[in-house]
Amino acid sequence: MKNTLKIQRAIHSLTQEELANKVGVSRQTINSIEKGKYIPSTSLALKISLVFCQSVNELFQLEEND
Amino acid sequence: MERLNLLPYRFKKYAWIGLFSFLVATIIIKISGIDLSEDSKELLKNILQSGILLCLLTLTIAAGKQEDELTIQIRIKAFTNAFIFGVGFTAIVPFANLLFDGEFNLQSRFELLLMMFAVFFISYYSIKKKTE
Repeated sequence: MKNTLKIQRAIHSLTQEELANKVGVSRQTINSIEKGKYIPSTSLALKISLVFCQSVNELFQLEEND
Repeated sequence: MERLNLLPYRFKKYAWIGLFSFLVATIIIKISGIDLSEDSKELLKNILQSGILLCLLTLTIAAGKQEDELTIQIRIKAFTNAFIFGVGFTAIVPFANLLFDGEFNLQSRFELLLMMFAVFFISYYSIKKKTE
């Protein structure tokens, strides 16, 4: 699963730490999501989408092998 | 994700202190060669082993500094690995003992549990490292 988290973070001038604090997880979790090593739960994906005012589908996209 | 019922983070510190104390006590008793009766030796050994196991259990069920859904998922994977290892070990070792020693038994519950804790910690920290 690919995501546009890093781009969105840059657009909104947010650090990983700041985004992590906003959604109530650790910075490592945000880093893992950005690198595609961890797929967040639905509730976390929704929280992140609220921060960036985007739909979950815009932030996270399925890849062919998903 | 569903939250796990874990002990507060401060319990990790207590567990480390306890574990260190029990290990030091074990080493001192081994080195000093205190003259004790067989019953007392057995009792002391059981107390020290139970203490070590309790401290390790506390370490595994105490929450990390920042517990979130990623760490919960890693914890669950590590618990699963330890459980599968424990059951596999319990099932296979008696056959290995039968093959090499001629006795069909599991030698020590303490060793089994110690190895299960080792599998838990190795799994937990290696999965954590991989996801970083």
